[in-house]
This record gives sequence, structure tokens and C-alpha cells, in this order.
Amino acid sequence: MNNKIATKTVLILSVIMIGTMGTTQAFAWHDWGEPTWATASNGFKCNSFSGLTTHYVTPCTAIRSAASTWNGVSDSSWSLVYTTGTAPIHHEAGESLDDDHVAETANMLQNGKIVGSTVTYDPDYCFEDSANANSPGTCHDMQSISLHEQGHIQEVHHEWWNSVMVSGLNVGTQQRTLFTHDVDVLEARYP
Amino acid sequence: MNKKIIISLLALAVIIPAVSILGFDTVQHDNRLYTHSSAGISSGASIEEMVDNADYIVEGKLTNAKSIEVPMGSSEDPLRIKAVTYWTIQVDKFYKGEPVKELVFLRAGGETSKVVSTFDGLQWNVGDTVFVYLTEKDGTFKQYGTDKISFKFTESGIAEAYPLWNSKPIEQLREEQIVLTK
Repeated sequence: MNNKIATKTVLILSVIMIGTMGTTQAFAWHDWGEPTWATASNGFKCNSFSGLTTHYVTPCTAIRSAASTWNGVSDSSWSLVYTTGTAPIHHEAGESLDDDHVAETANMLQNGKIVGSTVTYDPDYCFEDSANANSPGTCHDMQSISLHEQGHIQEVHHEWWNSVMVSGLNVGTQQRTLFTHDVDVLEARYP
Repeated sequence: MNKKIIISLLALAVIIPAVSILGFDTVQHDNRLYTHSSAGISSGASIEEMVDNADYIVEGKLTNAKSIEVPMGSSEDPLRIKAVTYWTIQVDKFYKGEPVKELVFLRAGGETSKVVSTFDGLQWNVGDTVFVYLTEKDGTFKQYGTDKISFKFTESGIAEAYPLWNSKPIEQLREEQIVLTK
């Protein structure tokens, strides 16, 4: 486990697959044709984070902050509302089938529309608030990871550069703000 | 392993760390894209360690992807699902171990009519060339660096999969078979 923590990059980049990728993963700039949510305003909740190792961060607090960042895009109707009740979007700890990633987002579809989403944060990895000086700096910044995963909730795929959807965030570093490109994509998909 | 293969692997070992600094574990070499099964790398193993310690090293081309739906495993909502994908690898080269023609490999992520699962690991795509590192213990094969997926040869030459999820077998996956055709 410590070896994993020490790994320089866990969100391993898919972006270099450009040369051979012919699927939607490669040209995610537009994401046109990808499924969207029926409504731009949806509830989300935090389930159990049992087993998740955290340092100076409360997972749901970080997730709510990330949601606020996306909600802050002024020219988009996209809005995620935190609730402790029933919600179509769930965040929780969950082990993945593979060892090489810290989080995974599964969007459930119905008639071509997204009707539910579950983001799982892998307890094989540790998470921190890297803005806190006491954080070890060897774990993943929870808010940054969630910001990225919430892009996947919108069914936005990985990007190559200048985006929170670049998959390759180093441990102990932050990417808590959106790039212009991210704002443009959200505004286009959820005007 | 003959001398030519060793040299080839050493050459890759030189290239890959340079790429890894940028967070990549895929390398462009001789106009081909080499994607290494990343479980070992993400667990901190170097390419050299993986080459030394893996019992099987396969180079092959991804020829098919079949996604299936599996339970999310969430106690809050047992109806939630995600997708995993069987990747068929047409084996071109076997650097270590007994040669097989085809390897079907199970990985996270995928897309069906009901769910799209996106993970932040190395993406595979049909047509890519991949390296897969497997370890063997008492006839059971595992992807290097992980205990989550294992393969076991049967007498008929079929390798059955024993995937575990949250330490529990998933029935849908147990019913499927990972075919390792000799």
C-alpha cells in the first residue's frame, strides 16, 4: 500500500493514447453524442467512506466543495444539490477491480439518458486535504479527485491538457479550479 | 529468455522511466504503442522488477472488448451497477512462460446499454498493443501487482477466472470463463 502511495501518478494518463485511440475516449473535447442527464439539477449524497484513509479531510466536505465549483459556472444550468435523503448521485468508498486507479464513476442509463451515478473512491489509496500544511503530501487531494470525477458524472471524458479532466494528478497536488475549457464544455452541454 | 529479447526489454526499460516521469506508462516504440498492464507499476514496481519477477510476459493486440454489468456492491443501493470489460488479447509474443494464442483479460470500466463506467486508470482500446505481466503460484495466475484477479489453468487448457470484489466472488463473473487458449 505504501508503495502505491509513493507512486508519482495514480490517475494514469490516458491522454497519450491519442495516436491509436479511435474511440470516444480520445476526442473528448466536445463529447457530443455522449449521454446527458435528463435534468441539469440533481441531488447527490455521501454514503459510507468506511475503510478510506484520510488526512485532514472529511470526504463529503471535499466532495461538496467540488460540487460547488462546478455549480459556480454562471452560464450553465448544471447544479448538484447535497442531500442526506434519496439522490440519484452517490459518492462512497468502493474497491475497484483494477489496482491502478483511485476512483471510478459509473453512470446508469435509461433510454439514452443518465439517471443515476455512483462515484467510488478506492480505499486502497489515501486521501488528504493538500491545502492543509499538516497533510502528508503523499496522498490524493480529495477535492481535486472529486472535481475530476464530477466531470465524469456529466459524462465528460478525459482531456489532454488544460482541463480538470486530465487524468494524471500527482499525489499531494491540487487542481481545485476549473479551466476555461471545462467551463466551456459544461456551458455547452448544460446551457 | 534469449539475448535478443533481453536487449529489447532493456531498451524499453530505458524508455519507459523517462515517460513515467510524466505519469505515463505507455511508450511509443518502433511506431507501435506499448501499453503495460499497470497494476504492477501503480503498486510501485519498476518495469525491471516486473520483468524479473513476472512468470508470464505477453505482448499482444487487443482484438475485442466485451462489457458486462456487475453489481456496484453498495450497501446503500444494491441495484446500482457498473461495467467491467473482457478484453481479448491476441498474443503476438511470449517473453516469458508457456506460449498461448489468446488471453482474455478482465478490467474495470466499460459501457453497456445500461451503464457507462469510467475509471482513471490506463485506458485500453481495441487495436492497441499491450504487455501483460502475470505471476503464477501453485498454478494460479494473477496480474502482476494485484490479488484481485487470478487465473487458473484447468486440465482442458481453459483458465477459469476467480475475480474477487470486496473480497467476495461476484456470481456473474464466476459464471463467465476467462479463456486462455493454448
